[in-house]
Amino acid sequence: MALRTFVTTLLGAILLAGCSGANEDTELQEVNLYSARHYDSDLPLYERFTELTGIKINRIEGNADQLIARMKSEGTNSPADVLIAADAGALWRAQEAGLFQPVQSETLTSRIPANLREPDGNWYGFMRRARIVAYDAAKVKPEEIDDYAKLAEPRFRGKLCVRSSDSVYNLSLVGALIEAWGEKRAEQWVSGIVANMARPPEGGDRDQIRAVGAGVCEVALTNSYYYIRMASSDDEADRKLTQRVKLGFPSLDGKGAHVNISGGGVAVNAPNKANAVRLLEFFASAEAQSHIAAENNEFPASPDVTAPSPVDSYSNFTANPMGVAAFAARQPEAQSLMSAAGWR
Amino acid sequence: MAIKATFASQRRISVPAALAAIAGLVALLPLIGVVAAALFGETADIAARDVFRYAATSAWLALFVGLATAVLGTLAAWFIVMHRFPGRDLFAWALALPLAVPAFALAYGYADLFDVAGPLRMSMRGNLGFDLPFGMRGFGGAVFVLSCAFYPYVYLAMRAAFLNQSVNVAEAARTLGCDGWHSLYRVALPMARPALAAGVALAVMETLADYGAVQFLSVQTLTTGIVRSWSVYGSTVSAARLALPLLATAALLLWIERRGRQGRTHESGNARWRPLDVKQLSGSQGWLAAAFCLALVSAGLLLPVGWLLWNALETNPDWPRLLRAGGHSLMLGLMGALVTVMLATMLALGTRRLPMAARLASLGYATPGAVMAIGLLAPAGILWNLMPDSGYGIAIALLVYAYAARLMAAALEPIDAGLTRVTPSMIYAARSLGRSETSSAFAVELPVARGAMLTASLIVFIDVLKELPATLILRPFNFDTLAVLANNYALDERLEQAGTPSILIVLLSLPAVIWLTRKIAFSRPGA
Amino acid sequence: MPVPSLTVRGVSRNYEKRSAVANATLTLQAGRITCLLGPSGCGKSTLLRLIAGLEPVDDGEIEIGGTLMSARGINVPPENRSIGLVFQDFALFPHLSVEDNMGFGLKTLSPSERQERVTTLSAQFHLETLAGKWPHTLSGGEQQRVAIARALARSPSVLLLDEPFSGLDGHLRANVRKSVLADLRATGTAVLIVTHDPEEAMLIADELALMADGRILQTGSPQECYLRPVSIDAARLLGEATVLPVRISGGVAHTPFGGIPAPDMPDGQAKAMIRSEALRLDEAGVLAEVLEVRFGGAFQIVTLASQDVVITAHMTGSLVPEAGTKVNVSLNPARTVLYPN
Repeated sequence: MALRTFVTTLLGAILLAGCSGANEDTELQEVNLYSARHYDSDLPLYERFTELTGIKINRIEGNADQLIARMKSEGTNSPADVLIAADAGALWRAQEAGLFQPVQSETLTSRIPANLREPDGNWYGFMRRARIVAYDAAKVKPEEIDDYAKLAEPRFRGKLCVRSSDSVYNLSLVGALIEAWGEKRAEQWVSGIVANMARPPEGGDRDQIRAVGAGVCEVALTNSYYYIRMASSDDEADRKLTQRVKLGFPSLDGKGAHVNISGGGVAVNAPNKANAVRLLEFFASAEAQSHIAAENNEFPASPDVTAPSPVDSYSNFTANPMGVAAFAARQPEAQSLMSAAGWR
Repeated sequence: MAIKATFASQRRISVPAALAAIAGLVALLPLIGVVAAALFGETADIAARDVFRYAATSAWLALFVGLATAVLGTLAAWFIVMHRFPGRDLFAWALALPLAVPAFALAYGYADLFDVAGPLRMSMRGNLGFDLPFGMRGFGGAVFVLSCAFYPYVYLAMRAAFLNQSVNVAEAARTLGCDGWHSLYRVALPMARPALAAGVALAVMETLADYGAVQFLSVQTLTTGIVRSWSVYGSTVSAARLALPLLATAALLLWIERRGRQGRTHESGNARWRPLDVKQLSGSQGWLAAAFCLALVSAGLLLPVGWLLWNALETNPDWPRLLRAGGHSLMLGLMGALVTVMLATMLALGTRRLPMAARLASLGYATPGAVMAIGLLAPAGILWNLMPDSGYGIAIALLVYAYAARLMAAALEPIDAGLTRVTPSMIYAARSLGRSETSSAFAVELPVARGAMLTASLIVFIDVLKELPATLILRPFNFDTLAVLANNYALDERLEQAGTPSILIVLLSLPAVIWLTRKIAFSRPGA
Repeated sequence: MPVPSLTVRGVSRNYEKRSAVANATLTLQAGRITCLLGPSGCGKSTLLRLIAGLEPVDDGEIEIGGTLMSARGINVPPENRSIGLVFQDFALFPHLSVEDNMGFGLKTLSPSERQERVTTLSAQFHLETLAGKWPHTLSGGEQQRVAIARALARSPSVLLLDEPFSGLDGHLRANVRKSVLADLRATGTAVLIVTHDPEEAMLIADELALMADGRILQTGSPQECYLRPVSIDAARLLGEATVLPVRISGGVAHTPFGGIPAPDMPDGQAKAMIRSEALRLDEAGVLAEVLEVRFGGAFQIVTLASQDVVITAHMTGSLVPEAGTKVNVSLNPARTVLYPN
């Protein structure tokens, strides 16, 4: 009677599951975190927070937009206290959906530069990630890629690697270009990029860097931390590759490289608001920023936090001071523009 | 002729029909949510040109994967059932193993293995001075990877069908000078057409609903459009609308599949079963057959999973976390299997009375996970709002419900097929022996379908282990599954770390796959 | 006269526009075997289903053991009808052993009572050695015995069998039929057997019911139905029949193959139904030409022509006519029936 045994086992499993769920300690201080960051290296950070404050972090990870949709469905009963994401666009969409509440905190406003947080305090950026280029040092001179505009020039016809247009990092970059240049010039730039593609968009950022190393193209758009990770990797092939492929920091209108953020805000119906603010403040602390910089190779948001090795050797670039909220709002525009130009 | 009049003509609401209606509604609720979402609200301005391109890619992909799985799965089943060659007994179950590998894991493995900057091609260029003329990222690669992932659906269905064909027909064909290949495509294949349709329908529906693998292989299908309209434009309305053609296609496929089945006759109860006349393949022929099977198993399992494993060996996995996730996967798999099979059984028992309910309830299988998530959030929202402080239990219940709605077709197909062993006259006999309609359903139909229910639970179990989108969006706090971990690492472009959870999924599914194939081997009456 | 086990009175059943059963009337008595004979599609299976309660009637009444079971708006479900059903495919439950198949309908009995009943039935139908076996390991004849024993377990008033012998092999068939019928009669149940095989029907039936196009044409003993069919259609159901136009004058019907007495019929045109065995060699008969002779085993199949009318006859006896010759023949009035136009 295999079926009967099977069913009995199953019922047992369900009962067990039910018990372990009911067995929650209500006395414990908690904060519920919805995270669109999916890095293992964040877990020790959460443990450190609990160690410091006695507040336990419950987390759900997922795609930013699915977390947003879930919070919407949960409505006023949502258990979410904090939503964090690795892209300003997602935070902006959450704000648009009315999922954040403005938070005023002396710690947050003093530690996070104004351009890296939402003006009303709906969300704050803790880490920065530059959208820059990896280039073949043998074929490309640094001055040929010192401006985003130059990437669209005929110099790089058939020599550029990019990933698909729905990558949030590309969307934020093009959003920033629209913000700086207006739609028309941004459109011309996108068309130039499409004309310069060495191959149809494929793979992730790391694949673009490796494609440069493999000679498929001379220049590739990438996020800074992927390159830094490869340069400091245990994998010898990756390290060797970064000796040939260098990281370049193009500038936007001479004001510096496009910078996106990892950040978060307090949920509008947060049941543990005080704890939520404490968590945001913890993320803004020098300790947390150093940890993430060391583990995930992002740049700290606060100027007073010195980046640890190996990030330090890449962090003396000029970051564009454009407000992150400004380009975040332009992501849908950017997508339409890129699709129309044939950037798949 | 006489069978056509059904119990429905008695104008009484029967218990099985009512149960089927309930199960059908439960399974359909998320889809109703999708349609409702598509009707009301703001849309994203995705260009019609792009939508057309996505739809065309989806259609071509479905066509090629459908053809490839049909040919590969049928040939494999034909070799295994009708021939004897070196390694046949091993291949008989090994050929089904790719079922245990999530399509996205296959995509990770292949994309990385054949990457232009990957070690394989780098060393080929460096040492041999030439490069492969193809990569896995692109349409061709997607067809290859998805065919490798989904051919077992056809293989399993066709193997069961070939095993159950009457020896008499094969012998009749031989006396008519029809042998070898001829008897495959002139006799065995036409007779097994319903099974072929069922297997290919599952493969095509999986293909249409896939996002993880095609996204990784840089192929943009309708699911790309769905995810774009949601993630970039924040419009679940457009996402739901883009899903409507997929739902319509799935409905059409199901309709065709059911129609194909109508002509199927019952194997009569007093047919005599003799051992199949298995042909010994000699020498080079035998080795060719073995090579074909080995190539399939290699392409679907050994090569990509081996590559993932090779890469995973360099990492230092977080074993406690992986084991916890494995426990969660196992628990969800078992619960998902139990609930889905229960609902599918309720549906299947009522199918004779309510064919439409069963057909529609299968649509979830062709619904992309992201869209299913949109539909699921509606009923979930009601629950969340009704029960504040709903914790772990509710979240798990919702998840299991999501699996049931999504995987109903996978459970319904085998149970429905199992129930065809119950002829209408058996039911009438039970009725005349003093059993009510409900009682005869429990005393005759359920026990006869017991084997099929076990098959169904194994398939659902395997599918739940691989499931990603619903798990991502509905899971409770601090709850990872193996598929979630694999996805996290892949999103972060840490492929070598994605290997370990992917391989654990394969390992967890292995016993189920082996059990499943052995069950089919013994399915031949009198065997 | 005792209460009939089954009474079907003026029953009709329509599917959309087609009438499957029209105004059918039938009575079954305990201990007697009735055969419902008709070609496939004539509605006999539908009538069986109506009696079993698997479908409602559109008109008319069905009583079983004196209780009203079916009428317009009334349909007692099959489980409450006191009927037994045996199907062409026997419909044994594949998941139950022979013993458990037989005990399936005895849910209300205690285990020991059930066992006792099963044992009795096993003995009655010679199934003792098969008790623990699975249905798919049995021969066709064995499966049928189990199906019948199972249907009789609850001692139903009426046992309905749908083409019970058609699934059996030819040479087995006669033996199985003989022994099964003997066992069936011994139970004293009213039995209704549906068949399309006239020879079988006449062999086994105490009563025949002839059915065509949804109507019951005639009921009666096999001899009565065969020798005195109420219509040409009824005649054709039971065997080969040639129909010839005849002229009646002076109480005699004149055919090309000789005259037949027609005492009660007025002069004029009529029809004669001639069974193939009605023609016999007769020195005093009319002259007919032998067109062809074929060997049919127990008889010769002889094709004869007279006055441009061709007829096929089955002849027995040692005298065999030769093709091309002429012979004298006459008609056996007992095997010929006249019908007015």
